[in-house]
Amino acid sequence: MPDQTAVSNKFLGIIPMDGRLELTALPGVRWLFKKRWFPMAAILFNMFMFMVILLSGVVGGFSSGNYIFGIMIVWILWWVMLMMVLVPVFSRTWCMVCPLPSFGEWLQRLRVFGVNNKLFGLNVKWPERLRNMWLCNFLFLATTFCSGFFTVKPLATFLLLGGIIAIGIVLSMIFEKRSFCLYVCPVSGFQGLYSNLAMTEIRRKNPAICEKHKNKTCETGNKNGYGCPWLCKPHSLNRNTYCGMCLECFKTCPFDNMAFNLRFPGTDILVNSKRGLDEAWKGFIMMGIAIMFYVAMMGPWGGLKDWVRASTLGGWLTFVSLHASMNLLVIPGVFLVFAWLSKLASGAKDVPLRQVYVNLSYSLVPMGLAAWIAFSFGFLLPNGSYIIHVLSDPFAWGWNLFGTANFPWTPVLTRLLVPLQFITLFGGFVFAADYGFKLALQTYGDRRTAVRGFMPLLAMLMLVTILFGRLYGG
Amino acid sequence: MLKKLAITGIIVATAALFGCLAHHGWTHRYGPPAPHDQKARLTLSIPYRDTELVLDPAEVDADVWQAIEPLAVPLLQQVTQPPWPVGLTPSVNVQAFHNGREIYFKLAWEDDGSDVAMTVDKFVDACAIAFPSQPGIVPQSIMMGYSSPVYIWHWKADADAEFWNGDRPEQPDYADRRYPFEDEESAPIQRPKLQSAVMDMISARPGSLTIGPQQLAQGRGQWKDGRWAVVFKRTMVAGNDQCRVQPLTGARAAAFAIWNGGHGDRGARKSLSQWVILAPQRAPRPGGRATQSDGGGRQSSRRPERPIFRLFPSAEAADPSAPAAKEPKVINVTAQRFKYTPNVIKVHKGELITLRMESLDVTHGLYLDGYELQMKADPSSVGKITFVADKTGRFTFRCSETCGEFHPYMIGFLHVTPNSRFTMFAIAILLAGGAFAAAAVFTNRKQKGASTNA
Repeated sequence: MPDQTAVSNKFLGIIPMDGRLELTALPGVRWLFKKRWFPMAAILFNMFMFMVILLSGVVGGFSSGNYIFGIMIVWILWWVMLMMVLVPVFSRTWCMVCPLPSFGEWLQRLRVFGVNNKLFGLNVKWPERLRNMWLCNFLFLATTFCSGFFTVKPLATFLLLGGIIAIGIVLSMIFEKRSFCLYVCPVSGFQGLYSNLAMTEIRRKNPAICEKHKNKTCETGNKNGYGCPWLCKPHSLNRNTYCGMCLECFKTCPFDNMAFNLRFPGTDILVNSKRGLDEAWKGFIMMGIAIMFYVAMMGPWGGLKDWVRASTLGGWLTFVSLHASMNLLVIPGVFLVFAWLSKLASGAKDVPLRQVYVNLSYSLVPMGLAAWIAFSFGFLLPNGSYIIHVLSDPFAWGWNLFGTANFPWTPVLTRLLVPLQFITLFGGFVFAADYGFKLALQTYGDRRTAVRGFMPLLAMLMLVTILFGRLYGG
Repeated sequence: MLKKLAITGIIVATAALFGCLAHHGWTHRYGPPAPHDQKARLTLSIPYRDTELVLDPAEVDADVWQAIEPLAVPLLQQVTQPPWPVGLTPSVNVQAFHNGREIYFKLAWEDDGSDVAMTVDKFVDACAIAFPSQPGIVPQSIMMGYSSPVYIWHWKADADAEFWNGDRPEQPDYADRRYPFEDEESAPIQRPKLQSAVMDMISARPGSLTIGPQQLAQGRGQWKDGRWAVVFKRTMVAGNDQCRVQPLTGARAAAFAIWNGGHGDRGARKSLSQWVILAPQRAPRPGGRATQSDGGGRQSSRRPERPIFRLFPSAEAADPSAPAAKEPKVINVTAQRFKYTPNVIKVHKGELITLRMESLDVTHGLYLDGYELQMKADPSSVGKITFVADKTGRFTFRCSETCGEFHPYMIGFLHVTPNSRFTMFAIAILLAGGAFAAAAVFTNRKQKGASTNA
């Protein structure tokens, strides 16, 4: 059996990864986390913003998106913030303050403020077979089929976000707790996978306290808060993937045994728990979408843009076919080849190919996130100035709320765009390679075997990084 | 049971609310739906009258107009180009007649106040008539000829006041500031003396509006009791075939636009109509009766001289006195929603490059990342930038003028070889990969040696 203890606990063999800085030990932080109005205040603020976004979508119709609040705030500000800051640094903190499932949750709880652990709704358990990322994968992929509409037409953005809210309400009435967030929300999947790389986590402090605590109120709830809405076991949580950081466990734990920690990025990638093909495919899909989005939207090929925006039905169907094939077949297939080469090179006959395939796929997490961060630079620097305009004239009605309605389109630091992208990709490669080696050690156990098995993976990571570099600036 | 009913009710209410909002958004995706569904195209009769108007103020309500039934033409908001609509002038009454030598149109519409002077944040009332300049009009006029070239007669209240009453604005000249971040960059431009209260213009597509080579249309407006009335007059026997009423070639149509300055209407923000078919009455033969035409006709035996003008300026003549300079490499780029052709340009480091851009549809811009250069072009004018390609790498050029919903993705690449940035990046990756491989092998041997010794 592979020796799990063979994995080094130092990044690049130099930087210790085991350290944790408990932020809730700081004065005021734990106090804040235990207050019921936090994060409710942030949720309500975001709720207001999303209402403006939805309204701008309804009234914006098919007008040009770069003058509409909804398009600019969602696809430039929110998406870029998610990729560049929220997920890599704060894990699933967006889920903490996300307003999209809030209506459904308030209907479940029959209240906005306060605690009511007798939840309204049918509280049906989510089907066992779907308790994974597969549905999120397909739904997210499906939304990207329509990216030529969602990211440019205000009404389409309304249909997407309004549809998510409506589905969230419906599912909240049928299934228990945050089943929608866990297994359906298109945004949830990649947040879950990429939060393994995040620099923050919520974990128990002292395992002995949890072992002695029979009631496990972090799961069941009490008068101070709800049992984990994300159906996690906070007392034994070891990965960020399905933790929505709602902070209910801080409120319900009578021993203050939960901690919000700052940590070295990516430590969850090495946690060998609940790994599966669903998460592997999520990694492939995120890489594939980054490639296709860049080629179609940020590339110079007008014919592809005509396909993406469905100038003709045939063109759009061609795009959908290519996009789906690439994400579901080509990229996983190419990775399978390298996984097979890894197993072949390692000489390890007792390690199943499936295990090699799944384990090593997590090395694509830092690579994929780096690709998305680099992609986001390409959006933010040239087009970020539109946000200043839409703040003053959110509905393109000729308002000038803050005096910035006439702020012209102003690209910023575009001469640094490609260098920034290259640096980001390089950083992603370094993380991917280091974690890839550690994953190889975990998979093969024996160091010598792992070194041999790591080489094809390293070659693949180098090729992928150079490919992205060629795409973004070559 | 009650619980299930309540849950069902919540689900149904959610779906219904979402459906209603989506329906509202869909039906209003181009602005408020038209008040009525115009299945049959309107037809404007243009009778023959043996009358000539000299555009005296009293002639706005001359007897000749009393005898002609006005056609109420419904108007829509323009929702294709910003600034987006605020108010709507719901309709305009149109009358027309001709006397065989001139054609007259009268437009009348409701307007609470006459906005005649343009200042900061104040705009003037105006109206316009557009005629297709080619046969086979596209059914929707949308942007008054969105998809087809047109001739336009554009009347403005301030031009009317200046031309007929001599009310010139205080500042005859104005400065043209093109770059908001370059405070010293401005060029004073003198305002031309008006030849008429109406400007003859031509347009291939939105953003291509150009002053016509001949100014033949005239007009006079009068605001009274909350209503504007504007009379247009134009000769039918001189110049190009802008409005050849008799005989006709192909379908003749017109569309109308109203700007209410009090609503902030200007530029693309206006109320406009769909195409209205023109049905002129032929002038009577000597001793004969006038006959109606349905919009078709024979070619005239007279062939008026077609004005000659070029859509793009001819190449500038070289100044013979200038010293011989290194000629830039000219690269012609065409811009069309939403692509450039060529979409990928390759040059060498140090080359002197002129990018010359022509637009095939609407106004487009070109902003070059890295070099931070910018230009724009529309179908009637060419944009040019000249620079030395002293930075190597791949640079994105992108559209800088909102040209439609996919505008942020209208992109091209400029490669300035050698692309040393990418080369360095690839080498860095290869070196880092090599370092990882070496470190893995080295530490493995070290551990193996340690275990052997142990």
